[in-house]
Amino acid sequence: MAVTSAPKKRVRMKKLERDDFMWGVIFASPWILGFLLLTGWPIVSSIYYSFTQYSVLSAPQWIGLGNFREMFTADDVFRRALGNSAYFAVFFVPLSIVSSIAIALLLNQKIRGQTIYRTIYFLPVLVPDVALSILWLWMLNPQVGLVNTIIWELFHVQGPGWVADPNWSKPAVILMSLWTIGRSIVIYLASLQDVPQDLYDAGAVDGTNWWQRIRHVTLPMISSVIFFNLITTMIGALQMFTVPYIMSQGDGRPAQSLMFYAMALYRNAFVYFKMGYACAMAWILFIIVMAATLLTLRSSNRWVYYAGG
Amino acid sequence: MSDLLTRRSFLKFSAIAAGAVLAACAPSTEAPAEEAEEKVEVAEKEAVVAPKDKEKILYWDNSSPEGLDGQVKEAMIQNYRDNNPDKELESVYKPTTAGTQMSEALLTAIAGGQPPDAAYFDRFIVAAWAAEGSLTDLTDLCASNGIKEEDYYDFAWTEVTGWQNKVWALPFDTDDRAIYFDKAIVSEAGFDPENMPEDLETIDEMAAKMFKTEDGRMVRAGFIPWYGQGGCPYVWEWTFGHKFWDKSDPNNVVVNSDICIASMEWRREYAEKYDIQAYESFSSAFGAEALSPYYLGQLGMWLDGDWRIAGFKKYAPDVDYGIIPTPFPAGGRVATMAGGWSVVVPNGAKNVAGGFDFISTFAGPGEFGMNYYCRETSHIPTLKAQAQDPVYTEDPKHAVFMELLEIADTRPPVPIGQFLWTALGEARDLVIHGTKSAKEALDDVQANAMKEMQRYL
Repeated sequence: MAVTSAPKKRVRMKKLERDDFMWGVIFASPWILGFLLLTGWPIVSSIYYSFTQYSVLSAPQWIGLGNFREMFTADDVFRRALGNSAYFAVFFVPLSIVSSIAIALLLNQKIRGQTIYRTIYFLPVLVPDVALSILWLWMLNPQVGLVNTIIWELFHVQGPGWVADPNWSKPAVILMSLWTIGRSIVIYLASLQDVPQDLYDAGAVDGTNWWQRIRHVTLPMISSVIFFNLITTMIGALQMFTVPYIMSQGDGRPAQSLMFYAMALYRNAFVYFKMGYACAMAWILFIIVMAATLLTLRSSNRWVYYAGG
Repeated sequence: MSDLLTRRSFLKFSAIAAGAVLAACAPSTEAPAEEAEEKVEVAEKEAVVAPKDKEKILYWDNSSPEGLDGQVKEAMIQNYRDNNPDKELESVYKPTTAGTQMSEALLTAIAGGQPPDAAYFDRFIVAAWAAEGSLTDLTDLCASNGIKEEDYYDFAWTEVTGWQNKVWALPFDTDDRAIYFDKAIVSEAGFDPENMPEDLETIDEMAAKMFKTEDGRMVRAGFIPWYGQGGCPYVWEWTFGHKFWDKSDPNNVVVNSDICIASMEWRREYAEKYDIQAYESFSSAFGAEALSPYYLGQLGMWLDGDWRIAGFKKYAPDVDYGIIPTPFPAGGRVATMAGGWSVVVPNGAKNVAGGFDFISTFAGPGEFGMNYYCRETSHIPTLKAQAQDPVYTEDPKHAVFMELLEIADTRPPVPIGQFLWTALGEARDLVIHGTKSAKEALDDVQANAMKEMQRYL
């Protein structure tokens, strides 16, 4: 009896599961269809287009690895754009992590007006990218901008040319991007609430100072959140588009110092009628992002600690 | 229990679905009598409004309906509607993509096979879009409607026929460029503003005396060759005597001749002599048009378009300024670039005849055609007869521009027109910032341009 009822029960469970699955699929079908048609299909076709010469207006022509060969051997702008995006990512990602953790630690202090400070640091996130870029163009204006005026008033030296100077334009974009780290600050703040008080207490008993507590208690305990932020910030940095596009009026001036990868890609696709080439660029970017993410993932078991095990 | 429920709801779902399918397939004759009567009524009502099906024409324009250009165009469109009660003309505002003169919406609409019947279109990229097969060949329609090459300025007709010698667009307005100078600054530098030089060397000398610096900041510039319209590629090369393109060899463009390099070198010397950083800081210090350095007496000389006259009237009526044709070096010539827009019938348009009928009226010689727009918005007609309207020469300053139109050049009407425009602008930027030498930068553009051109040969 027991022998026969057990399999029967399992069958019933399976059927239930199957029904659930069917209903799940039916209810998710609008999304699944949308994903397949509007995201899946374009992704798959972009693989094909990356091997073609395709102007959008006329039919694609197969050229094999032609686009990739051109990219790596003959395209100056591609190299520059890749360099610019890499420069931005290399400096912005660590700076943004360090400064958002530092600010989160400060905002975590139990002082009067804590929520007001937290709100203030989050506010810039609400400014749309276009408005943000235009605002900072004025702040960083070499002659009449607020930043250089302050530098002049304080030190009586002429500040840098910022976005008017190819050597300072990327630092300028990094500086203004740091203004919008409110989102990661909020995430770090949340994670700081999860650091057990008893660890700090134990540290205090052992006579640790504040830096040792941060270094050996706080940072390991929030390392999983740092890891999450590292990956998302890195991907965002490599895809940077709106701010440099607006600041350089679309052409990466001065001297292509603000020609970021996504801008070069966009220009090939929609200005030069080189959609095939742009698709190839998109896949190269995907491979770079993928590789960077995998490397970070690989390294994570050495420095990321999950309290849950 | 849950199994039963699931089964029941599944049945329900199937029944509803089946019902819906059946309903959709049911022939309309089976509709209840009441519904049929209602339909007849509706049809009758529609018949009162539109006795027969109106011919639909869809037109896309890039001028904001709030701006002057958009409002003037709307008046022209309304006039077309009034004169063609059998046609239903719909005008839709589609802005151009930032940083370009084209519209992504139009690109995707043509690619998707759903373009409008007519569109407002930057004339210098007509060849590029024609080469991509995205514009309708209007040659026969022009011939049968009496639209002739002789009626237009050369440059305008060249631009719309650059690709395979067929007509791909109807020219609309134009504009051209010359040197503006601030008379007070010229006098202060010790020169006679009523007796401006014709050679570039003297301009360089004059400029040198006009620059002013305070606390390490440039507060007045004598001349910035690439400022404003001086930033347009081609102009200075023409001035130095170069010819980029010739009708007899339409698939060849030369951008790296010795003359081109010399002209680029001349600009690089300015960047070096007066410090490119000081220049860039100076140029970026001005925001809205009303705060431009030429309205504020902070720029001695610059290359600008004829429309700036209207700007001076509006923002700085008290500034005393003059206009001269571009001075040129030995071996060079007076040169100006004529720009402007056109109207096209995109390839794949549903109503080609209707689209053409509209654009030939819109850009035609009629009362609410090209001249109406140009008069109202400070532009110049490309139809020579229309440009004879005394309104364009009554201001002696504007007369300078009208005279220059006779010798005006146009950007090479080649399929890689947009590419060249961007690449040459970038090359200039790299050279003045010292990233590349003039020769290196122009050789690179030449090589890339020819490679791009291969796609169309």
